[in-house]
Amino acid sequence: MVKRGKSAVLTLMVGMLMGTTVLAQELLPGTRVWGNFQMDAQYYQSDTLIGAPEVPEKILMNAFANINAEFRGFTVGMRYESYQNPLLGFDSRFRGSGIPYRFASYTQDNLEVTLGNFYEQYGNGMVLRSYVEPNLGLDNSFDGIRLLYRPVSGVTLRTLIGQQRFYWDKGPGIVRGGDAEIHLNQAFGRLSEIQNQWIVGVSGVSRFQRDLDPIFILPENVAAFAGRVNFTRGGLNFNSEYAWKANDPSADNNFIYRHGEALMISSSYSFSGFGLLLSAKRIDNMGFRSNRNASANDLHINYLPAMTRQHLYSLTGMYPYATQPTGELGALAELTFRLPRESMLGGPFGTTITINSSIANSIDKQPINDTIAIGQPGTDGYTSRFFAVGDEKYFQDFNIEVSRRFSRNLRGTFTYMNLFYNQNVIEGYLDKENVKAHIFVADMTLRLERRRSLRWEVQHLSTAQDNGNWAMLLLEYNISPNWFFAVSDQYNYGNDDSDRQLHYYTINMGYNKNANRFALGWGRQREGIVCIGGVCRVVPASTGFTLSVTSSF
Amino acid sequence: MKLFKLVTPGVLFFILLFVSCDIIEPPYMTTTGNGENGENGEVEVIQKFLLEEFTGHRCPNCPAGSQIAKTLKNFYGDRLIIVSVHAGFFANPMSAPFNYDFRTPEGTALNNHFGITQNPIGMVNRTEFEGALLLTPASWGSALQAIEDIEPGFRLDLDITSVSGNIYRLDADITALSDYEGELYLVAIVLEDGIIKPQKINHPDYPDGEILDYEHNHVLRKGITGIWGDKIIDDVFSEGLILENSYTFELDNSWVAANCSVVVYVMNSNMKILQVEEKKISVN
Repeated sequence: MVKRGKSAVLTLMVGMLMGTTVLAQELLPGTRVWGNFQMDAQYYQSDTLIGAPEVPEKILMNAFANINAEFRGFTVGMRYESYQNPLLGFDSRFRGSGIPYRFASYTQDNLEVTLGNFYEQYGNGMVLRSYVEPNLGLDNSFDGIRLLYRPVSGVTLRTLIGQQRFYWDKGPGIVRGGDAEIHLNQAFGRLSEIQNQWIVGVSGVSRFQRDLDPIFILPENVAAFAGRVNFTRGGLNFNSEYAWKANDPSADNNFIYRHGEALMISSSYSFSGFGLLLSAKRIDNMGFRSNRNASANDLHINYLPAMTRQHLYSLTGMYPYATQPTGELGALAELTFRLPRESMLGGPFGTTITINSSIANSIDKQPINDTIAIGQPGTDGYTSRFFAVGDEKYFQDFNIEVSRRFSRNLRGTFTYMNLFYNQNVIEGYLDKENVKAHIFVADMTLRLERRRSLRWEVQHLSTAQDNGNWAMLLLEYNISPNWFFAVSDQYNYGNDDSDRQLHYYTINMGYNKNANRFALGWGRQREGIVCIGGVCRVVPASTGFTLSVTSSF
Repeated sequence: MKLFKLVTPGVLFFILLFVSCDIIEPPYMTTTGNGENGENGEVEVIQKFLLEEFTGHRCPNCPAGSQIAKTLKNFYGDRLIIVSVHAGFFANPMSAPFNYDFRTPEGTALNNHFGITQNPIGMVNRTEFEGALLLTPASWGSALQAIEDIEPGFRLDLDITSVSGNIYRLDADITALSDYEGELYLVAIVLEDGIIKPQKINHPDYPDGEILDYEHNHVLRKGITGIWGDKIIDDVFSEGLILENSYTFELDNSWVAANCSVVVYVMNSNMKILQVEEKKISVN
């Protein structure tokens, strides 16, 4: 069985490399082939008004395609990527084309073996998470060996060894890790009938990187451990994880030798028409990469989850929060409830209200003694009391979102956001003012006849700091399920510099057909930051035509 | 319970099997060297290294970076040549006493070309170390260690003579120690040491965050050639050949000539530094 499978997979890979997935399916009846394709291209026009950099190539493009095939428990896959050249805002080291991701795996007798590239996550990812996020230009996949074994019901053991992707190369560090997770109710028969569901897990990860430094005595092996528990009963969920990392002097922490630690607690409770989420975390020197000299989004071994709301509107998302791995104390609370239909406040169709607030603060840091500065390289860095709050606020937001249907054809969502944003810490400036802003958004959708709809957004951001006030208007016309057309304008009318009171207008249209999507646009992109899950990328200003094609099979 | 007894030690063993750790006890840094590591002799030619440190007087973390550079200088002695490039945001003049300006067109060109957005940051021979060209100070030592055994391809002999007043003549002779193919560029710049000017600093000894009598060393003052250099070889530079280059340059009246030196380096078309030399200006 195994031998037949292996030869089949070889045949399959040859088929895939020959360029046609249909061929593979014809060669091996019963083979499942799937994948997806995405291409983003932009034609850049000169626009000195918004500070858009000149692009000598005029046209830049990012594209990738995943192709996977499965046959009787054997799976092979690869991803082809092409950056000719990378779009503005993506690291120029991506330039080129190739296959940075390929793997083969099989499962037999509860053992899953993966050779080649793979992604993995232990628990919440606080000691290990590898993932790909094309919109951030982030791919920290491993190249090595991964094993997953389920010896008995409810017990999952994982282990891996590998090096992480570094653009078209690999990082210098070797990462070794193991994780054990036990679903107690499945593992112990007498617990199987009770309502309380318990999952516990422990992880250990270490990185090896040679010490070449003539001055610093660097640990070549750096280990991190984590323990977690998850409890569920009906609508109640409690999830917590604590992680600890040994001394890891690195560019992230300015080469101090202090240990790292992180605690994350999240709980939620929900029932029909009601939801409550409470989360808190403390991070202290918990950056962990497979190259101690790496920076930006390169070679992260772990992931420190964001504890702020992911905002989707342009102006509420203008100042997103980026997790601070060197130290952060954060909390989030979110309450969602539904006012019933036909009630006085709920209206004829009911109203949903979400109230959300999050805060991120520095942790307390005290000097080790009178002669060593906080964070001085080659020292223990600082001392910190676990529950003490630092004196610098990084981020705070308060949001109220009201969603209501006014009639059978008209519905709207109204959002108010109050924001505090520490630009110096989050964006790495020295003397920028903290941004305090009020943001309002009205998002209305009117359903028309023959599956048409009209959607419009009105947004306003008022602040006395940074670039001042913004207003935005968006109009979108949909012909379901195939077409959409949209125009929008963001106007920075409150900029103190009258020469920079600019309009950022865009025109977009899209066509969807089954699993294919085409989008064409033209307009200005303002300089900003895009963050996904607390991981961020700077987006430079640009003007031009954009083309996006996505497809899956 | 039997399952629990079996699984628990198994899980712990399983995780510990794949995890190892080195706990480092203080002191975390080796004591500094005596500068003998690579002292230049009369006969033997050794490969020297250029550390370009991008800094600014408004950068509070830069004195710590300069301290690391100084520690490395003590360790490597004459093998290491440091250039402090004041450019970018942190080098912009502000209100007094930080209203002085160490920026130069050459430094700004380097800053822009290499995309410097943070200070302190540096390059060692403009050679990538573990995938990165721009290195934070704590990586400089590792980057030096990684290339310290490379064989020199060139020998640089410098001579500086006074012409008149603040005008000097630089003679830079380059000898190929092995056959070289490709373009070769020569860059000559002037540095000044011992400039006492205020500096922002992040250190508990200076609660105001300022040190008014900070000593700035290795400050890039001007280019004798353009910062992208003079092309001295187009295709082949055969072993044993010597290229003689002469330049005349002038020191600014506000500079202390006795504290100035000339740094000359040769680089390839990718701007990778192949050899570097420094010569103090002697004042009679």
